[in-house]
Parts: sequence; C-alpha cells; structure tokens
Amino acid sequence: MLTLTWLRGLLSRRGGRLGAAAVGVAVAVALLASLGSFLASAKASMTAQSIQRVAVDWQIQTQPGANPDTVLATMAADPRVARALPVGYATVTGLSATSGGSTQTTGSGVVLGLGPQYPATFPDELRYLTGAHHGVLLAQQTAANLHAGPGTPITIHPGGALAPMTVTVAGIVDLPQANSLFQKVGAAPGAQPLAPPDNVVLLPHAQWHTLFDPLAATHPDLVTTQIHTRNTHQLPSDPAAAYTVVTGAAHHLEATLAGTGLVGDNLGAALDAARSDALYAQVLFLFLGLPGAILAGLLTAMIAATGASRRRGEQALLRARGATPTQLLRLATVEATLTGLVGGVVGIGLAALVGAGAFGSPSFGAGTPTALGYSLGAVTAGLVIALISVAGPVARDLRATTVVAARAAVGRPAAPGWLRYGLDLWLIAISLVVFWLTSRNGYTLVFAPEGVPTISVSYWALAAPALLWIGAGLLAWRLTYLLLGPGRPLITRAMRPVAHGLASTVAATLSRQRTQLARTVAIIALTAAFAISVATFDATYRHQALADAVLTNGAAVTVTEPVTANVPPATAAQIATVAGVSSVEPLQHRFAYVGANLQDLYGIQPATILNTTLLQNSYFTGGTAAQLIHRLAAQPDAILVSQETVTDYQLHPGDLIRLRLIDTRSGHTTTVPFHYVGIVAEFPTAPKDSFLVANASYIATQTGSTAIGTFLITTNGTPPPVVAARVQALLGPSAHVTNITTTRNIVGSSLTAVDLSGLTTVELGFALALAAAATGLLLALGFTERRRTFALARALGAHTRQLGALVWGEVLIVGVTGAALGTLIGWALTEMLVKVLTGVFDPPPQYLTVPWTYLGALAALAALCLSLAALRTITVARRPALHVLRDL
Amino acid sequence: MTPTDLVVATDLTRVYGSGPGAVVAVRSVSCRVSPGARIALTGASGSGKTTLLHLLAGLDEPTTGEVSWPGLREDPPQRPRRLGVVFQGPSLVPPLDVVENVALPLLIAGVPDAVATGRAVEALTEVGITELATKLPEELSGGQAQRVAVARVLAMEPRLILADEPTGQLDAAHRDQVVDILLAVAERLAAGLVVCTHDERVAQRLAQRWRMRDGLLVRPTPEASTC
Repeated sequence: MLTLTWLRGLLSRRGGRLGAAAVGVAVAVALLASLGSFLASAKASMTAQSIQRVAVDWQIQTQPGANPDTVLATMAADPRVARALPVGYATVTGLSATSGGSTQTTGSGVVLGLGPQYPATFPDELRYLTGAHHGVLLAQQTAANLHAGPGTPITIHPGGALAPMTVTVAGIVDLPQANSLFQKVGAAPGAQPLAPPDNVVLLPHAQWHTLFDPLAATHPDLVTTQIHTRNTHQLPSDPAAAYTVVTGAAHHLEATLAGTGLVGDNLGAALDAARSDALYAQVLFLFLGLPGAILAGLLTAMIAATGASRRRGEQALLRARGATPTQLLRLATVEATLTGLVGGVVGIGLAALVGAGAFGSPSFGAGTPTALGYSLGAVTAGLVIALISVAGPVARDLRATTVVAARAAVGRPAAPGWLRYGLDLWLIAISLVVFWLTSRNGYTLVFAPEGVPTISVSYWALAAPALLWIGAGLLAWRLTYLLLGPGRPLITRAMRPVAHGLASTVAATLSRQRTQLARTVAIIALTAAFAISVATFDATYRHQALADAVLTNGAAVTVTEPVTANVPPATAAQIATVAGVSSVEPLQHRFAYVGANLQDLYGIQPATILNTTLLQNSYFTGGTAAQLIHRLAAQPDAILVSQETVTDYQLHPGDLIRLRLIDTRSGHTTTVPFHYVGIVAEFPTAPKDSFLVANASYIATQTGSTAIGTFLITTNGTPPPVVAARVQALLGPSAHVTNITTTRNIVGSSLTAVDLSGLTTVELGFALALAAAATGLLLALGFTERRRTFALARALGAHTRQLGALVWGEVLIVGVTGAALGTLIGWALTEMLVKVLTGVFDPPPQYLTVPWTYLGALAALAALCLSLAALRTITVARRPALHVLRDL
Repeated sequence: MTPTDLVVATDLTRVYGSGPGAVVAVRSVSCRVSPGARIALTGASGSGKTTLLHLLAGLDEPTTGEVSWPGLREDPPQRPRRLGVVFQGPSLVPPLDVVENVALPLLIAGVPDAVATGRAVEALTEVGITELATKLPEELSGGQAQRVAVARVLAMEPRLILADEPTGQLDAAHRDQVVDILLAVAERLAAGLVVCTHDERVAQRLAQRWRMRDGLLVRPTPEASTC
C-alpha cells in the first residue's frame, strides 16, 4: 500500500524528475542497443564481403601420382562443396606471335585448361575484355606483350621435347584474382607469395588435354591439375568463427585426401584478414561507443542526483514517521525499476528509429535474434544504471545519514577524497606511461598471426585513452572546484558585467554549490570531449581512407598502359575530351637500376601534379609535398628516393645518383645523373617498397622517350566507374583502366569496406543528444531544484533582470568552463586515439582533420540548450513568488 | 486616506481558483496603516490573515480592489523598497550564509557591496546574533532563522514592517525576544508594524488588533482599521 501511494505521488508530483532520469536511461539503452546491433551487423557484413571477394574458395592441387578424377570425386562428395571443377596448369617455356612483320617472344608462361562451366561457376576469376568468351583466351598483359588480339595466331613453346603448337586467339581477358589463381598451394604460413606469371593462355579443357597430356607423361613437374571449388558458405556470421570453421574443414579435407591433394584455402585466407578487421571494429566500438554509454549512465546518475536533496528530505520525513530502511529501499527500488523499464522501452524504440533512419533497418541489418539479444542486454544495462543512480544513493544515505542531516539542502561543500589524494593527476600520469609503453610496439593492437586460429587484442593499449578520459574528467572537476572555491574573487569580478551589484551574491551561490556545479561541468566537458574526439576521429578516418584509395588507384580513374606500349603525352588531351573527365595528369612509369636494384621510376609534371592528386606531407621527408615538388620543377635533375635507398647508399641531400635507364633511341641502358633532394614514402600507384620520383621532362630528354605509363584522371562529379567505362571504350582493351570505387572494394580491407560512417553517424547523433542533455537538462534540473532561491530573491524585491543575472551567471560559468575544458580534453583524447588506433589508418594521418561544421553545430546546440534552460528558469521565476513558494 | 498613510487598501478581494471550487481568501477588505501603528492581525487558521498581509506587502495581487503605499512614496505596480516582510516559514536563501542573506535585499536595491555588508553586520548586532554571521541557513535552529529574518528586515530600515507569524515556531523565551526586537526596531525607525499571529500573548503586546473571519476584516472599534 505504501509502495503504491508513494508511486502514485511520484508520478503525479515528481513526474519531471522521473521522466528526466528515464531519458538518461533511454539514451544509454539506445546507444548500447544501436552499437551492439551495428557491430553484429558489421561483422556479418565483413564475413559476407570476404566470402564475396573470393573467386575460388578452395584450390586443391593434386599431388604427383594421384588420380585427379579420384580427387574430384572426393571433392564432389564433400557436403561443404557446392561445385568442384578441374583446372589444368601447364608451365611452358615461352609464347610467340608475329604481327606487322615482327615477331614478339615472351619468357615462360602458364597455360590453363578450363572446362566450359568454369566461367559461370567462378565468374569473378575472369573478366572478358574483347573478342569471344570461348576458345583460346589470352591474358591482357600477355596480349600486350605479344601485340596480339582476337584472331592472332600465337605459338606455345612447351618444355621437354614437344614441338611448338600454334593456336588462334579468340578473346582477351583480365585475371583480377591472378595472385590466388597462381598461388603456390601448400606454401608455409608467412611464406612470400609468388608473383603471378606475366604470360598466361587459357585453353578449353579438351584442347589443353590434347596438347599437354603428352607433356604430363614425360615431365609431370610441368603439368598439374587443380580442383577448384565453390563452397556452400553455411558459416557463422562472425569472421573469426567463420575462419575457424573454414580452416578446420580445409584441414579435415586434406586428411580425407590422404596425401593426394593439398588445399589452397582462399576462403580461409580472406576470413583470416577479416577477423582482424572485425577485432579492429570491436576495438573501435569499445573506443568510440562505450564512453558514450558510460556518459549516458553518468548523466542519468547526475539527473537523479539533482533531486537527491529533495528525495533525502522526503525520505527523512518517512523515517521520522516510522518507515524502516527496508521499506525506504523498496520504494527507491520501485522508482529505479520504473525509471529503468520506461527508459529501456523508450531506448529500444529510439534505437529502432535510429536503425531505420540511418541504415534502413530497425535492427541495423543484424539478424532478429542478434538484435533482440543486444536489446535485452541494453535494457538490462539500463536497469542497472537506474538502480545504481536512483536506489544506490538511497542505500548509501540510509547507512550514513541521520534524519536531521538528510533534510539539509545545501551543506558546506567538502572536497571529495579522490581530489585530496590527486587521483585525477595519478590517472593522467598512468595513462601517459601506458601510452608511452604501447608506443614502443608501434601501437599494435590486434595480433593475428597468419594461419594461426587464435587472434588477440591488446586491450592493455585501451587503458591509455580510457585512463586519460577518466583522469581528465576528474581534472575538469578539480579545476572547476578550485575556480569556484579559492577562485571566488575571480568569479565575482567576472560576473560584474552580467550581475552588476549581485555579482558577489552570484559568486557566493556558485561557490556554495561548487560540488554539484563541478560535477556538472565535468560531465559537460566529458560529453564535449566525447563528441569532439568521435567527430574528429571520424573525419580523420574518412580523410585517410580517401588518401588510401587515391594512393592505391592513383586518382578517381587511372589508365595504366602496358610497359611495352609507347603512348605519347598527347593522349591526355584525347582523354580530356571524354564526358565526365575534369582533368588528366600524365605520369611516366619507367624502371631504373639503382646499383643492382631495379626500381620503379615515376616521371611527373611538377607544375600540375599537385592540382590533380592528393599528396600529403606525410608521404615525404625533407620538406612538404609542395616544397619537394617545387624542387623538382626548379631543379630538373632532382630526384626523390625511398628511405631504404638513402640508408643503403648513405645518401645526403644534394648527392649525385647515377641511374641506368633504357634509352629508346639506342635500345640500351644509359646512365643518367640525378641529384637526391628528398625522401618519398608513398606516391599514387607506386609500390609499397622502394621507388623513385623525378621530373618527367628531364627523363624524356635523357631517354629520348616521352612515353606515358599512367594517366591520372579526375572527374567532374560523374561516378568514376561510368567515366572509367567511357575511357576504356576510347582507349581499347590494351589500356588497363581502374576506378577508385572498384579499387576500394577489391583492395580495401573489410574494415574500410564496411560502412564505418554508419557507426560514426549513430555516435555523432548520440553525442549531440548527450550534449543537449548534459547542458540543458542538467542545468534546467539544477535550476528547478533552486526555485526556492529564485522565489525568495523575488519576494525580497529582485527584478527579472536581477534574477536573470543569477541564472545567466551560472549558465556562463558552467557553459564556458565546460566547453573550454571539453575542447582541451577532446583534442588530447583524439591525438591519443589516433596514435593508439594507428593500425586502423593507412596511411597514418599527418594531422587531425577537424570537422568544423559538426563542431559548430555541437557548440550551437549546447548554447541553445543552455539558453533554453536559462530562459525557462527565468520565465518560471517571474511567476509571483508566493505561488512558487506555495508549490514547493 | 492621508498622504502619510503607509499603506491603503480599498475593497480588496482575493479569490484562489475558479468555478465551484474557488476559495475566497479575502473579501471586500478596506484598511490603512499609519506610521507608528502597532497592529496585531489575528484570526483562526484559514481566515485570510496571511493573504491580507501578502496583499498589503504587494507580494500578491488582489482579484479586485486596490493597494497603494502613499506614505512610502511609491505606487503600484512597483512594490515599495522600504517595506520589510518577515515570512512565516523558512525564508533564508539556502546557499547564502547569514550575512549574505541579510545583505541580499540591500544588494537587490542597488546598495554597494561594502555598504550592504556593513549594514547587515549592524543589523545582526542589533538583533544579537553576530556569532551566526557565517552560518548557513540549514545550520540554524528555527528561532535563530527567524531572528535572522528579522535582522534582514531591520537592515533595510523599512518604514512598514509586516510580520507573518514571526514567533510561530519559537518557544516562549525566543518568542518574547523576537517580539521585543520587532517592537524596538519599529520604534527606532518610527515604522508601522503589522504582526499576523495566533498567539494571544503576542497580540496583547501590540496596541491595536484586527481580526479576520472567513476573509472579512472585523473591526472591534471604528478607528481600529485606521491606526
């Protein structure tokens, strides 16, 4: 009965307090449910995308002496295999073709024998460029080497004593997954991958057998058969679990084959990469999501705490009238449960709305059971938050407070124990030490040894930003506490322009309430820091993802000409006429000997390169990107080299380097002098290892060739794949045209392939909600608890302007201090986060990308909420004082 | 009405709420208070004493009728500054200490900080509670808080003091002490004094008596309402 009466009273008289606490719980629940569902969905998406990227799941190489038909039958019988087809591999000594009166001959190559169902079963393995889709097909690079096209007869030179065989090319194809197609099956984990062969011919299976069965009889080492499979893909959605299942199945298969075949597990390899990306996603979730949920919990506790003195007073009355501690605790538990449940239900609804709005699915794309599981977990967390926030203080009061003490409203502020012992400073110091320690292993967070089932995350590294966040929050508390305590004269002076004659009164009021205000400022600062760090991290991540894609592809659209092609720079003008092209940057690509090492050499046009591609300062050492490119313009024989080259050859700026390049006039190598001016680590389209960058006109003069290797194309907003198709149509099949969209999907990690922006969109939205709650709601509730003060001041003759001074003074102090400290903490936290999460970035950022628009919106929202809270308070305070006092 | 009347009320009615549930707290009351008046406003609980006091103080607005303060040289709608009110319940601002509470109305009136604090200390001295100067309201007993409230009125040097049950929470010794202070202050400032009270002993110490009954002001003698 008491419980029902109390509950009825709470709902009718303290609905605002309950509602505000429920809002806090709802935000926490919504954030947890959203992020949990998103993480599950992201992991499932990573698994699906990894599977999708694999053209052939397993390549089983039959071993010498084994019957390929038996191996094929074993594979076909395996329940995990949906389709299995044999593929013949024959190594030949060379290919040749005659066209235009000249004969081109290549080095060794591989001839594949494919069945008629192969292209349909493994559609991602072949990309038809021109000619027929059946018959003898030639790889694009090989066609360029042989100057061959559809209808060109080519001669295959098999090894052994077999005579050369001539076949007619029916079509030209690209082999997008050549690396896995020509992998060394059964290579030890960590072994250097084999480069795919330069020359590849694809024959119909029957023709291949006719040509190479005799060779297999005499030279079995040159001829082998692989069984390629497409699996059923009944796998767990988590990449790590899927990897374990797939690799286990592959090992089981090898055991079943009993030495007759080795399994090349492409599917396992793809999932192996995805599982570490999934862990990174999980780490991001922890880094970026958990602080938000903790903040929402803290906010709830703060909201509950704003009514603590009133609640204590009410409970003191009940105790004075004989209520037992158990009864009081029961009442508090009922209030907490009601708050938690209402907040939980609203939170789940909010999460569903966010999911539907941001991802088009209330469950964020996760399966219903998974989403339900996360929702239940989030509601449980919400209940725990409500119990800790609402019932916790009651339990503490019952143990430690007398009835008389409980009725006190303000009390003299006492410094918390942690403040006296400097806990905040200790936490920050420990954070910096941990940060320093983790920096020594290059901020390696995820350990995923290749081929090893176990994978681990160094959660220890998370301690640095976590401790910094907590320590900085407490430091904000300390600074505010000191500012409002010993710094009271300063506050009085600062308040003079706003509060005039009441400045000392405002300062006194703020000073006496510095415990609560310091807590509010700390929460505002932490919320601001959360929003700033998430937004800045997100902006930096996006910027670097773009830089990564540009580095890989070179530009929005890139044309790579065959090495043997002699494409003049004038082709750039031709490409520029294609609809959708904004600008074209020709790039020479040569090979140069540095001592005995053959390195890629890129010849650039210094006057225009900076306008057409993204060159970051972090790619260069010895000057900024602009400075070094200008050096190449001013000093034509200047050259940029890799750090490795500088180290190997003990180079110093200005040193002479002699490179050997092919002189097209003589056809022989010629020595060309260059002067080393700086170091280049990354360059669009360049390989990860050593390469060189120099002035294109100087290279052309020295080698007698202006031939262009690559064209970097920027678009005018037209989708890159569309422009790429138009350029391909213009230049024909010999040109290799790639676009940034497709390249990101092919070479990007599954982490970048997953739309991480969804995660940050959700978080940025919640950060705004938290900022609004932390500023407006907390302040409004604080003011509500002080209605008596305002009413008394009004009863004593205070005008609205004077009441406004009391309110605006507090708003200014809380808002300005919270924003200033939050900005500092946010900046420090982001710097640390970006360092600790270096593994997520490729390439690492040279500076933070600040999202000014979002931060401006955040500041505006916070200012608006603070203003609304103040204006609402002033409006209430303008009511006749007696009405207010009577209502309290 | 004479120009020296501190407050003049004409046909005041105050109704709370509306419709059938409306409560008429004060009905058609006309009265005035002159300088030097010592009035005890008595009546049963709910008779309208406090409402009338609040109307006279300008803290509440009459539903009909009019209040003016010709002797305080201020007219409605602005409430006069030189009018002090001692409230019935706790009326000290919780986050301010005793001196700051006493100085608050002066600061609100635009008196400079140092002057306001000086006058607050003087008022505390006059009331005899200097030792409470740095206490917070919640650290005071009911009697101490009421004396601080009196000191706050004193510091303003009002010409009219309206006290609502100033001794309601006090024992006999403190009751007499507070009434002594109020009378002494009113005497020194030549101020009018109206005290709402249930306590017959308090009422007896004041020269005149008004009685409220069901919102009506009952005058024992014709001149009682124009002291």
